[in-house]
Amino acid sequence: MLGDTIAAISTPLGEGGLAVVRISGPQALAVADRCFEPIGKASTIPSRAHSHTVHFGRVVLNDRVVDQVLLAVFRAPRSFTCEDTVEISCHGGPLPAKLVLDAVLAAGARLAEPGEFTRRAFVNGRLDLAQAEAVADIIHSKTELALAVANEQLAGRLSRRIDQLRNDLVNAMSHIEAHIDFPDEDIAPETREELLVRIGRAIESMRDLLRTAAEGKVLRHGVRAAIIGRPNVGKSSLLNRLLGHDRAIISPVPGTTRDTITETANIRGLPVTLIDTAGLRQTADSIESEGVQRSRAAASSADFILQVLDSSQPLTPEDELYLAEFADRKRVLVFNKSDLPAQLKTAPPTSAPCVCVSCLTGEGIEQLKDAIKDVIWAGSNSAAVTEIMINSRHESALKRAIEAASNAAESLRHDIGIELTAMDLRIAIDALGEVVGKNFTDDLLDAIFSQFCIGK
Amino acid sequence: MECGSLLVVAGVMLWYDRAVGQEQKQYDVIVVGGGHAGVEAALAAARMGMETLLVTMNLDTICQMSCNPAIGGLAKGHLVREIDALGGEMGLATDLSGLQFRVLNRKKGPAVWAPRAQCDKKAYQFQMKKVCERQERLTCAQGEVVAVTTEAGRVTGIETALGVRFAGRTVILTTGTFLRGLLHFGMTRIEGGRAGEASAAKLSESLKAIGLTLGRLKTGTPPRLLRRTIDFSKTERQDGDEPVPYFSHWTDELFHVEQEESGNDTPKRVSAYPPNSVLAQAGGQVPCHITYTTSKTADIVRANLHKSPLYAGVIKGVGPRYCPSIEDKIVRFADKQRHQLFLEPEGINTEEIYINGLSTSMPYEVQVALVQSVVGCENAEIMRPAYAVEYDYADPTQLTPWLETKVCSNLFLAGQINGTSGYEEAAGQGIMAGINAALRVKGLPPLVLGRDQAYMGVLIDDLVTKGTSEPYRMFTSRAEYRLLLRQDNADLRLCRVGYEVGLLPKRRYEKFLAKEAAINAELERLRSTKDGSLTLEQVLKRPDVRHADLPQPETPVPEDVATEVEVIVKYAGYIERQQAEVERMRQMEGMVIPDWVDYDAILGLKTESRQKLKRIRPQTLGQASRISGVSPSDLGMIMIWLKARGGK
Repeated sequence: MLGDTIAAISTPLGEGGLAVVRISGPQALAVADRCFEPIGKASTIPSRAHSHTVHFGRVVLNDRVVDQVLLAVFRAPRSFTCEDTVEISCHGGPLPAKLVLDAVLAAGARLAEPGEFTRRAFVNGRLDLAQAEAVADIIHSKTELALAVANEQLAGRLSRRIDQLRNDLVNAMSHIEAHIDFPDEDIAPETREELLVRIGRAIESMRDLLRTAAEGKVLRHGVRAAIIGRPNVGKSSLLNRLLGHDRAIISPVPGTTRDTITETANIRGLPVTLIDTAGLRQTADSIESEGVQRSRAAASSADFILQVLDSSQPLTPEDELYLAEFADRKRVLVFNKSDLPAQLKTAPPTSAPCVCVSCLTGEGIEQLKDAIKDVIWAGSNSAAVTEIMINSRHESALKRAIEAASNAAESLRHDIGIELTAMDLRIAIDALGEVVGKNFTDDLLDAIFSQFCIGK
Repeated sequence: MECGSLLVVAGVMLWYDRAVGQEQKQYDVIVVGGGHAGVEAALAAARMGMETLLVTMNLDTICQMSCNPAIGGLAKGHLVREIDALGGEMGLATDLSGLQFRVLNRKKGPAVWAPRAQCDKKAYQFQMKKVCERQERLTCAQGEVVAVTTEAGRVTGIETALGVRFAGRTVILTTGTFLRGLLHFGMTRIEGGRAGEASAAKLSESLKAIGLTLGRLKTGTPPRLLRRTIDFSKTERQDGDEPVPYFSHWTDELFHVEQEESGNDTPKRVSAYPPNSVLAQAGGQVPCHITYTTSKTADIVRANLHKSPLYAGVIKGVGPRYCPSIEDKIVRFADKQRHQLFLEPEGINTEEIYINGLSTSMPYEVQVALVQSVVGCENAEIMRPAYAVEYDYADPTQLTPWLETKVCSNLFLAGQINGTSGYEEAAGQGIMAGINAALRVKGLPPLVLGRDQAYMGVLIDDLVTKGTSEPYRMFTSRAEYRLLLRQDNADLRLCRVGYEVGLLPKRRYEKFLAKEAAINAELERLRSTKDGSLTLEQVLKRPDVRHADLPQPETPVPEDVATEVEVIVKYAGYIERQQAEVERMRQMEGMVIPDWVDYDAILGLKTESRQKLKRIRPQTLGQASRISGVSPSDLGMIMIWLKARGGK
């Protein structure tokens, strides 16, 4: 749909130090006004700002400051989409960007469809034919992805829950609609109390779902990767490298890490939960032995394994033992310490991807990230990933549905008019229907005719 | 009409028919079928200046009410008001022939009020016949049409069973239930379009030859009972509303016909009812009665289910869910103790009573038992048995949004042939087909009403975009902009359209303009007049305040104006929200998808979407967006492909 105001995170999820949330459409400036507070004399609210200016300030959601940001204003037609556009640069990482997007959506923007900014740019004459074909390719691939996502989703629990909620509302609605459309039938309409209870229950369930999403549980789940290997091959160093900061204590003393450490890193836009484990070895130390136990437990619960080897030393019998132990697991072999002369001459006989890195210098880390991404996308883990990617879509739909259903309950409570209650319920059902891809009228008529004997 | 006459380009032309070897008149518009769709189509075309021919199998059954002699109800009443605002006949004919008038949903908000009338079946039909016969440029002829003639993908005329050919620039088919109609009375099957009338057996073949795909639908009708054999004391009486809520916006014309001509000295006496109307003849409204089935009814149905052609699998056509047979009701809603039935008079000069809700296809002897199990009908006699009818229909996705077939230009289909049910749905399509055939002859672009503009827009868009697998009936819940499509504002929505296409006469248009101006003036007054610190508009927004409670202007506001103003003010917030929604959609509706679009060449469409798009060939992106399964991404791909090919 053209003509309304859309928003989305325009940078890959959490990649890099900055993320950009882009708003485009006739209400872009008004939307930004509602969630942005300028700081300092040089800054102003977006609707008063000149085109192509940048303003410092904070983004606010429900009276809470979400992030300090830079906000750029591009007035139509001098923007990518030829519409009024606002770009908010916030701190990187999945959470700040998501919260800023939440604030923007709460201020009245709609979550953009995949490729929608580009589509608008194209429709408004920004792109030439060659570019257009390229865009078509991109949207094509995104469509395929979206289709895959949709299929995964149908099996997904969240979707099922939303579908069920929607059905509850359709049923409530069918009572109202039968009451409106068939006044001569002896249909005993549900009492207002009964309807209010139904709608109230639906709103409560939607709020529950939304809370789960807001707590970022889904985000933190991500894909789980266990870092395993003998002691002192550099597992904790690898964790710190992938995180981009020092989380684990590292020392030359073998067995420094005695318990598992869990942290989420952003790898090529995907949240990956890294589990640093105690080195695998036979030990008399009861604490360390418990740690080793936990390492094995972590490895078995993980979606895949980063198996670390020391390339500055020849393969030990222990190495060979552990290589065999995890042979049937999905894994990436990481040969650490590439800054030292290589002693490990022959690669172990495995089909798993092997990457040489130096956690000391950072060499090879980018290649490792690529390998990790490939492993995640290659297999059945994608369900977990896709659920995260479309989560914000659910959220936006749920928010609209809650608002509309609350309006419906309100008008019902004050007896303003059953047809007005119906209008809001319809909006709520439509919002949920967008997520599960269902058509309003067909379902409603099905519900009416299966519940009521209508036959005048 | 004035506007139309300026635009008339087609005079009467002579056409030489080689097959018959005689000179014949070429008509601008030929309408096949004289039912509710056909009559509105023919009247609209003739009124727009077209030389029009209406061919029907029986001139005595023009606008026959084959089922319930009632017009209106929810969404259907809205349709009649719309037809009336465009310049159609249904509303006026109902006002003249109605014997009981009610407004349904009066306890709910005005957006869902709906007029309904019980009609005198014969009076309705004779009124329509009279109007058709007196209509300038309209010729009514009796004959069975067996073929539609075409040349190079364009319709040229029709041929009747007697071998007579009529040439026409456009042809509108409104065949109702007559295409290969098959009546079921229990296991007895009789070919027919309606009880006592022959079916059109051959036309279906001609339509298939043109390239139309036909399907099969089913509908049914209940028995008619003899009034004096019913004990009405056991039933509940249902009276009409007073004052009579007429359908038409132009009832003053009905009253105007017979001014008191005698008595120049006495003041003019306005009669209580339109002269010559059924109400005038009956001296007032006639009641209906409500009764119920009993547990005995259910027992009889269950014991005889094997005799129902529906349950025995004899009937292949799909029946409507909203008008189930009594068999269906008892089987599907087994725990329901009793079912409500209505006893409705078929007219003021007949003793036949229509028993609404007891539609069945059981054999005669079971029907007798069923009827006599109903409260008050213990001794009732059946005058006409109930039956089910199966008939051919053409999947309406084969039509454009102006009801022209895609396979054959200048050929239009309207009414039950498009899979709909109901007189009002038929009439609504009829008037649109008539208008569009006339516009075609005049060389003008077609008229397509939007979903935000009229129930007729919703109806036709649903049909041509989604098709239908059961007889399609209009419900208010099918309209996403229900609050905009009210029965009270049908004239505000459509009179201008009717006048501009040359259908609505100037005197009616001027009457409408005066009403519109009065509404705007009164709204302006309410906004600019203060009562204390509030404007009158703000006062009127309060739920308990009516327009009559406000300080009135010097010249009193007519009642219809006051009602309209009240609705506009009270619904304002909601109306604005729906209008914002309409605006959002309008951009998509404005994006035309040209005929030359090649869906196979568009990269990245989902296979399912591609197939549907190729079949339905939507006219706009808006229409495409309503095809089930077509996603926003698909629309994006189409948009880009078009931009890239079509240039700017």
